[in-house]
Amino acid sequence: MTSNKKDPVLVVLQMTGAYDALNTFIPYSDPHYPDYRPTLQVGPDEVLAVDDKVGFHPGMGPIKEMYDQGKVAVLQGIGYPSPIRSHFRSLDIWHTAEPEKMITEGWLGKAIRDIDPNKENILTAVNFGRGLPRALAAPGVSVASVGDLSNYGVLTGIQGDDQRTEALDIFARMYAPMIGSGPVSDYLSQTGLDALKGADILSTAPEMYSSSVEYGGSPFAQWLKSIAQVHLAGFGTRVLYTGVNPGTFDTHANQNITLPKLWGDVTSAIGDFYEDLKEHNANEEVVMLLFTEFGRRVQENGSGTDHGSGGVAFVIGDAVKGGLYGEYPSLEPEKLDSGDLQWNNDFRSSYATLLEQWMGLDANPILGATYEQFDFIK
Amino acid sequence: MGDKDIALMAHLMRRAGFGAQYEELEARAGKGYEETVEELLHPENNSNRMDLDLGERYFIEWNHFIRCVPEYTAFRMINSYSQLQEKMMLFWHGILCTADSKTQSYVTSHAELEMLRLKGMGSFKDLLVEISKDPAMLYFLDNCLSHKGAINENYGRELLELFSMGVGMDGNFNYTEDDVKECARAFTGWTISNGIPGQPYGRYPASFAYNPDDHDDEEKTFLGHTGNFNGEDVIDIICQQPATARFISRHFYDYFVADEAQVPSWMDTPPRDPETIKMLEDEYFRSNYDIRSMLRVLFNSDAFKNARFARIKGPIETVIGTLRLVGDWTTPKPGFEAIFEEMKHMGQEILNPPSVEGWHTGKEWIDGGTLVRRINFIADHVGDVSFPGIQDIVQKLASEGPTISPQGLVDGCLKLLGHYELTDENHQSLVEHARKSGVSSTDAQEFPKHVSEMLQMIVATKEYLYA
Amino acid sequence: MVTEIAPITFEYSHTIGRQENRSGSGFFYPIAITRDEENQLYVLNRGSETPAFFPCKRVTVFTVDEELVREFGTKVHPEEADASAPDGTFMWPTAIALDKAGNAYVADEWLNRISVFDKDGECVAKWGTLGDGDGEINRPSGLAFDADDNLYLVDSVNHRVQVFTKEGRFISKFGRFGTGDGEFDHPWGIEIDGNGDVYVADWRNDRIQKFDRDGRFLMKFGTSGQGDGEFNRPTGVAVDKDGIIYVTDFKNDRLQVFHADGAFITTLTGEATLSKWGRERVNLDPSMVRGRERAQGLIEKEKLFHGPIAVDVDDEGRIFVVECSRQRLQIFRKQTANFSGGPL
Repeated sequence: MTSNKKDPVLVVLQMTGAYDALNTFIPYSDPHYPDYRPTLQVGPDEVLAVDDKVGFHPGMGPIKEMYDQGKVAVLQGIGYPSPIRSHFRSLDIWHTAEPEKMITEGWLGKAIRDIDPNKENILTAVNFGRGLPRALAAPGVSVASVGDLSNYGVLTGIQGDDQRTEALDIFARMYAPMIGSGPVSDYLSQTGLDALKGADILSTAPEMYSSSVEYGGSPFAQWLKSIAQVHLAGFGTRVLYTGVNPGTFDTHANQNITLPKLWGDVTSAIGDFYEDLKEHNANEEVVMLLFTEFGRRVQENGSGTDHGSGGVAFVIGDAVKGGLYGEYPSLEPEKLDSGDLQWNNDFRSSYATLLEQWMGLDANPILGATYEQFDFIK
Repeated sequence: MGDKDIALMAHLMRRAGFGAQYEELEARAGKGYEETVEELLHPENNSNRMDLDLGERYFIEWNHFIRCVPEYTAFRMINSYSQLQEKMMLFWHGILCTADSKTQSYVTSHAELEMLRLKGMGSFKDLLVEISKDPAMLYFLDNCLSHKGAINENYGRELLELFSMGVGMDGNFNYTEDDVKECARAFTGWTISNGIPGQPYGRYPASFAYNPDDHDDEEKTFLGHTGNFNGEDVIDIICQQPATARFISRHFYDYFVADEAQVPSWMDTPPRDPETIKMLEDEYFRSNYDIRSMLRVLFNSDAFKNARFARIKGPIETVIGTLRLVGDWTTPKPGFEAIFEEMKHMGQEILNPPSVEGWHTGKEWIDGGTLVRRINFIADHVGDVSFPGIQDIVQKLASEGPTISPQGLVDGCLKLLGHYELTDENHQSLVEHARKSGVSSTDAQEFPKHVSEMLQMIVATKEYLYA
Repeated sequence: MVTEIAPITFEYSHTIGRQENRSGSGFFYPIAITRDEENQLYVLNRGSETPAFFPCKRVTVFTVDEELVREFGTKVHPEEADASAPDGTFMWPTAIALDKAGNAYVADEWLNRISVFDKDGECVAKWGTLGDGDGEINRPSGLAFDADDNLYLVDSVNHRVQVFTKEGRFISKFGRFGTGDGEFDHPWGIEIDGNGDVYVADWRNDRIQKFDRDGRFLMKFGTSGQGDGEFNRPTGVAVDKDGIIYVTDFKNDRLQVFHADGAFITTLTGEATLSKWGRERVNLDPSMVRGRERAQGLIEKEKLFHGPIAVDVDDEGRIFVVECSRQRLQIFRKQTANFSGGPL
């Protein structure tokens, strides 16, 4: 295993359910804001202001702190052409970087192929969660998808250490490639053995890890802990992906109760993760992208917000040149897009910036076109 | 009735259905192979034997099918006695596909799947007319945006490229860009009524509307024919094409017989088994495009009967087949969404194919993540001796005698899983494994666990990825 | 001499509700209804099997004028839906009834549990044991209190009715599986009239049966079908102060009305209009407003019952029909004979 800790690493955090951009990064002094949000508004005294116009939701203290240290780029007005309000389709678009038509390859899948064209490292990318997001999918790219790092691998249901060891031993023998059995069989063999090997390597990560940081109990916090473990284990993993469960940020109702708690959990976990990396002197090579599938409607529904468009995303890390990027969409009623924030910042510009300026890859073939880039990477 | 008949029946039920428990295989084999084929081909003569009453009572969201349609569809694949009807629904859903990520109306998608169940074994021509009028499809492929004088080619193109003829065959293109445009012109005016918004009471099914004022009734030239064609006329011409016979036959082959090359390469890659394809093409024309007749010829052919374990199972086949094997989800209970999620995470989500091309098949089902997911899902199920289907397997093995040899255990498990076959090397590995465990008395307390562990090892094999 | 009896007719009043998957001013698969002494309505929401929705399974309390009063109860995750499910949580809630003190009793047919909530919505008690012995229950689906505050409980999979004290102590039972008089096939809703007589929606036998307070069979009406007086899975039954019987004919998507002797009077198929909560929601979204204006056949389609599942009546002649698949209830008013005097 080759490992160069200084290789840039991208951690993608998917906030599924569509967080409410307007109450996440809040235009608190805009005179229209309280009109749109009679019950959901966050007052100027509560907002974690970054200037006299905008500020973070009060639940986002840990990110605000990192913002103050110049480590957070706020990507305002982010979106894609012809916004769609379906969670699934919109996520697909973020995953494939293709708003026009349905395709199967993910932007990170293609990036992984470029990072490791000869498939030398089966752990170039690791996903934590249930099922592989399409962002990581590409033909010939193998990504380990881990639900629970402490119990990952094949035949985890077999009880007893000896029995399981023996079962895996037989599994390895049965998946050994056989001469003359054809390319499909060889492919299945390789995939099976890779999965076995990947699990073997991954299972050593928690053993090698020790830290004074205590993560919260939510699945997201635990997955970030797993990401820290895998990163710190030095397996050469370059892309790490996790998120919250579908629907988590889908605050149609009771948003005043749920959103502070959600942002509290998520940003504490991110803060803990950063502290953990720092404690191990492994913070400089990690950049995080935090995004959601779309924004929510500007006008609240009395208790929550419905599906809309025009969002905000965040890029976080030591290598990030903190500040505001893109424009905050206007709240003037006539400038809304049928009641939604008008996006002004194509999400693929941020992808291109991350791919080229951070990961050192050629963004054009991955995204299928050239996009204007930001300068949020130092 | 010997093992051979049951092995063949296991093969038929894996392909024409989602697998069956051993007892059902015995009963069906007793009835006869051709008789079973006929029964499967005629769901209208049989009740599907589902207790939808209780289903709707406990899963109240199934009432009017406004929500939870994928879950209902999965439940039906598990429990319907008319297995081929469900298998054909899935077949057409993978070809004439729409995705809920765009349509966002389960109630409309449900109507589409019902249509596929109802028309999926009739005339292919009727099926194409139905899908061209299907509200979910009209919206999914934008035909409702195609107007006289301002066509949207999307549906016209996919009808030719993905639903009927394919881009090309034997190295030649099947149609020109002009044909696509003319085809789209013929379908102008085929649209949907203005739908009722989902707010505030939930969604309503969309409905087909024909708008004669928006139909381009001028002369068109399509695939060498000239006339004032409407959509039905175009479909009639499409159905006469040898390319259509080829395209449908190759899909049948890939789905029922053996993994074929993927659709985008069909223009240049000849069929894996030209003789069988020829047989299906001939039957297509002989029967006047009758799907049922083609299936009959297919299932009764030697090519089909000899093609055991020549296809990699898809995720839906894997999950539904496993649940049918162990006898789970025969009645409603909480937590069904987890089952639906499982298929999705293995790479096949009902009503959400990854693109208008449907799902790629064969080895493309398998990657590191989906392989682990698949093996663990099956192994966790067959390893749970509380499932009635696993208890039956234990019981059957125990009833063969007071002791069982290591080889007897391996062979018995393989047989009861549906006459699976392993390479000699893998077979030997498992016999060795059974010998090491040492338990041979079938009334021992450990025996059920012993059996379930052997089942777990078998379902983890490469061979078990196939059906 | 010809005597014409004034027909009983019904006038549509208004609709309450909208889809609210999680909570708030609306419903999500409402399944049962009851009223308190102040005529506040309690609707029990069955909610979704989809784990993402939270709390989704709940009781919504509101006024006839569509003002939200409060809500209580929440869902339990399917993986925790067993005897250890926290107090006040539901998996498959089916029925709700209020005792004289105003405590709400909610039945759950998966947990086989009766949860008791006080007026503040606090869960103060729970009882119920799975089984088929006396006092044991298997999928409770209907609840009604009698004048003495004893609880009649439809024990659906045991095909019987059991009577309990409100603390859950077994008093008596009647019924068994079958199609004969006094026998049931998966019964569902229950009602007790002013005399203390008991009406049961004998769901899978497609009929209504009537018993006296001690469970003695009195009469039955209905058979399978789609015609007048025929049922396709009747779920709910209510009786007004004049003895008129209302039945939600679930899979026929209609409400049927009968005389006290079971003679058919009329059928209602729904008259729904846009509710207050519905209008508020639609007005938030210009695209919805436009969409409704352009929608073809909206008025005709939107008025129809979709999955009428429960019915209640009050002493003012109002009938409340709960539609599980349309997230709303429709309110009708019974019309009395019209004298038609007065100035011209």
